[in-house]
Amino acid sequence: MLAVCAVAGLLIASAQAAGKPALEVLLPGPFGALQVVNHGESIRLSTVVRVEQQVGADWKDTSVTNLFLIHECTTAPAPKCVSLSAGATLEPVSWRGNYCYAQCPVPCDLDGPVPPGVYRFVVSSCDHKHKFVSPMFEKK
Amino acid sequence: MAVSIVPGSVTLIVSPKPSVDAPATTATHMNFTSQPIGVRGTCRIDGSAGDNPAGWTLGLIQLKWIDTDWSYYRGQSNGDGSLFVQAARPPALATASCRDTVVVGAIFIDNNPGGDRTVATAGSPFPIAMSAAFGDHPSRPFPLTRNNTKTGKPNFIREAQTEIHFCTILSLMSPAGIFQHLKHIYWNVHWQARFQPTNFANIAAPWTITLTGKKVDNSANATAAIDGAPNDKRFSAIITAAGAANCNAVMNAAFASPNITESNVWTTFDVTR
Repeated sequence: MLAVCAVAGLLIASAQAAGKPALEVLLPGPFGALQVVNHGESIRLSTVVRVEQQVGADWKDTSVTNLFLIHECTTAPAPKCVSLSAGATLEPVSWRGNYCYAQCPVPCDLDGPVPPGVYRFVVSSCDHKHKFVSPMFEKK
Repeated sequence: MAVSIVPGSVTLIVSPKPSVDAPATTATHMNFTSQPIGVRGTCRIDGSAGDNPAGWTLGLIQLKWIDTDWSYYRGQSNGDGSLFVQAARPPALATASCRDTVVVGAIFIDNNPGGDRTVATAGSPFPIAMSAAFGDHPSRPFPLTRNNTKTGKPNFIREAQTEIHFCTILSLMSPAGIFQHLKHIYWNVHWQARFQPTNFANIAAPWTITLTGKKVDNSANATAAIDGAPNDKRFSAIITAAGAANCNAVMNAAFASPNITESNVWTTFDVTR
């Protein structure tokens, strides 16, 4: 079973302290749900959402694929980047906890759930110069 | 005495056996999904007091060697046309043979961290018990509708077939990167069905789904373990080869850009092409 560690706090991207757009990646509810809130100026974001696992003191990429900043599943491929205007909120389709069929239907030969552990989502600006991380959450 | 495998210690077991779910719709797709196969291999390695076991690794390697993935769409009426979508032939699918890992370029299966391999460590006393286990549940999605550019009309999925055949190998890798393939199994998942919307104006309404073909065309199967390495030339060259295609990557690409043949009427297509 999947479960979410109820984390209400926010991790503000390191970019914010440097005066870059203030973007928050939040965990609004059940396992896999995420929310991107833009408190700053309009920003272009890469649609690719990475999932990192806490390994000791480090965060390690999990190789989860097919997880995007898209608010619904369609038959069209996800665009490379998406614009988030000032004050706007994006609520992507939730992560299913899998490596391959992570979000919307996709062909998978090798799939399966990521192992129990502590994870976080990572969202990047379209140019990948800035990254924004969610609070950590637990997968049981 | 060099590090060696304890005679009779190698096992490779399938449990649970794979199974396929009945085709089902989501809002956008007709989905072929499956219940996980479980594969677990074990062995023991032995050595002398002076041997260093560090780096000896037991893991699993999975190759796909057959892929059938086609779908047929047709409009509500003959004049709306039909189209055939082929995702298992070039140029959509560059190669049918590929290695199955979540990390592109990896060799050992890597979707069960902490359980998918055993890496012996320095100082471990011989004999060393090793294990490797993973699960897998392949899936395929087909869009419920596609636009027929010849007629400008939506075509609705009418039939689809998927056959995915794997070979999974239990392999012991030396610290020098030399592989000994100990046992292997073959397994597969098959789906084939015909579809009809109950309401063409509302594809979110339930669809009529009829399994087609023979019993084997909607089934999953796994063999008992076979000793040694597979010798099938269709995939034996890529078992550990650098640069082998990654299965998920090539299938994602094939489904994103399949080969599409359109007709302005309902047509019978050759599904082998």
